[in-house]
Amino acid sequence: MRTILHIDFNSYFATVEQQANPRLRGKPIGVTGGDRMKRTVLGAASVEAKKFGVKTGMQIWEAKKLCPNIILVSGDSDKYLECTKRFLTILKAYSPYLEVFSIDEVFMETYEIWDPAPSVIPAKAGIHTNHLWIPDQVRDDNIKTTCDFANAYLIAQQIKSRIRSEIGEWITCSIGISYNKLMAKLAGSLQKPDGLVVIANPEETVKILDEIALDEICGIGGRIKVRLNKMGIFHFKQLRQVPLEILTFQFKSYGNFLYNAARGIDESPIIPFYEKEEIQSVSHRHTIDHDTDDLREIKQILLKLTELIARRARAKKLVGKTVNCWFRYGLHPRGEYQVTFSVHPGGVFTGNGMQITIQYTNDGLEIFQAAWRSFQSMWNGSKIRMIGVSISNLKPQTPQNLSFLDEVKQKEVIIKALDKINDKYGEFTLKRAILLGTPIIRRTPNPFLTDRRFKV
Amino acid sequence: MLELTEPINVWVFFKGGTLQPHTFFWKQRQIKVEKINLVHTTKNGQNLIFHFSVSSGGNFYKLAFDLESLKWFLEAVEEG
Repeated sequence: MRTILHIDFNSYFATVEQQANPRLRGKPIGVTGGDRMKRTVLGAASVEAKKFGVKTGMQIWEAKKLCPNIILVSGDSDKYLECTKRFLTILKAYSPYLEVFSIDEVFMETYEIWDPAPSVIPAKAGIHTNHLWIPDQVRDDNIKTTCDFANAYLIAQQIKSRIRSEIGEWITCSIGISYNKLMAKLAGSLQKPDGLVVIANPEETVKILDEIALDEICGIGGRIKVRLNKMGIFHFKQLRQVPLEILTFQFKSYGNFLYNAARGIDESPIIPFYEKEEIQSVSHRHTIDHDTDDLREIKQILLKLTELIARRARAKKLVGKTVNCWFRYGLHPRGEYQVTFSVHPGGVFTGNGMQITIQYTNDGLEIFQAAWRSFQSMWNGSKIRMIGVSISNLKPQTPQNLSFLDEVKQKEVIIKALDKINDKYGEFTLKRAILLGTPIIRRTPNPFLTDRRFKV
Repeated sequence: MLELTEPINVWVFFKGGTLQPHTFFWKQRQIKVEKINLVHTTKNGQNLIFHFSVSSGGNFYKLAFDLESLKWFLEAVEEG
C-alpha cells in the first residue's frame, strides 16, 4: 500500500504576514494584490477573517461588508515564495517524491526510507488495538490511524515541528495521510487549521465519503455537483450505485474519475517537481486601479505585459506562436458589469478573435502587435478594469528559429543587450520610450506557480 | 503602517555565521531588536536584498540590508 502525505498550509499568505508582523496575529486580515488594494480580490483571508465568512477570492468590498474591521495587507510574492522554498527544503529531507501542487500545497510519497528509532514512537501517546492506532491528541476527534501509517504519522509531526522552528511559530499546516493522493488531500481537509488526519484503508474511506458533501472531494466542483444533483445524486453513497456506463455516458471520460472517487480510488502517481510537465503557456494580467478607456494607457499596460511574458519566455529559451488577449469591462457603481453580452459570468470577454496565431517569437513587441489587434477586434470602447495576455504553442528556441535577415539579427542583438542590462539592474531599467514614466507592474501573489520550478 | 526607505545605522551580530540585526537607530532612538520574525530576500536585477521583519517593545519594523551597497534601510514601521 502506498503512503501519501498531503501537506497544506493554513491561510498561507495571511499566516506568513502574521508571522512577519506579530501585531496582525489573532486579527482578521486579508491579503490583497500588492499596490492595487482598492480594486483587487483577496488573495487570502486569515483564519480569524474566515470566521466572519470572508473567503479567498472575494472582492474587497464584500469582505469589508462581512468583516468591517478586516485589516488589508499588501501581498508580497517574494515573502511567500521564500517560505515555500524553505518548506520544500524541509520536506526533501524525508522523501524526494514531492509534487508541488501549488505554492502552499505539496504531495509527498514515502517508501519507508525514513526509519525512526522505535523509541521515537511515543508509547504513551496512543492506543494500539489490532490495526488501529489512535494518538492521544486526536483520540477525542475520533481520528484513527493504523500502524502501517505510524511512520508517516511521525514524519508529519516532525514536519509540523520543523515548520514552526525553521520557518515561523505562527505558520501551521494541515497534513492528510492516506494510501492515495485523493484520499490524502481529503484527509488534510478534514481538520483545519493545524490538523493531522489519517484515512487508513478503503473501509474507512467509504465511511468518511458517506459523511461529506460531493464537492468536498478535489475534482468535483460546483457545476459537476449541480449536474449530479439533477441526476438525483446528492451524496457518495448514491454515486456508488450509478453504473460506470451511465457516468461515462453523462460525463464522458470524467465519468471514470467520478466512479473511482466515489470509492476512494486514485491511481495517479506523484509527479516530482523536477519532472513537471513542460510549460504550456506564459501569461500575465493586470487589474488597473481605476476603470479606463484611455487608449494610450491601455496600450502601455498591454505592452508592459507582453514585454514581461516575452522576458519570461526568453529566460526559459522558448518561443510561442499563439497570442491570447482578454480583458474585463469596468463596473457600474451598483456593481454590474457595463457590458453584459459576449462575456461569461465573471465578466471576462470571450468573443471571437481573442486568439491570434503569428510566427514563432519571444519578442515583446511582436506579441504586443498581435495582442493589440486582438484587443481592438473585441473592444467596444467601454471602460475596462483588467487586461491579460498570454503566449502559448511553445517550443524550444533552437538555432532553426534564427533568421539570416540583417534586421532580424539586429533586433536579436538589441533584445539580448536589453535582457543583459535588465537582468543585472532590474526589470524595465531599459524599456521602450512609450513606457517612460508608467507605473511599475508588480507580480501579485497567487497560489499557482505556473512556470516556476523549485530547486531545493 | 508607515512605509519608507530611510537609511539607518544598525549594530549587527553573527549567529551561527548568519548576519542578524541587534540594534538600530531611528529618529534619535536606539531600538533593540527583540525578535526576528521572518527573513526573506528579494532581487532587483542581480542585486540581492535581505528583508528582516522584526519586533521590539510590541512594535513592528522591517529592515532591509542591500548586499551590493552593504547599506541598511528602514522599510516599514508600526508603533503604538
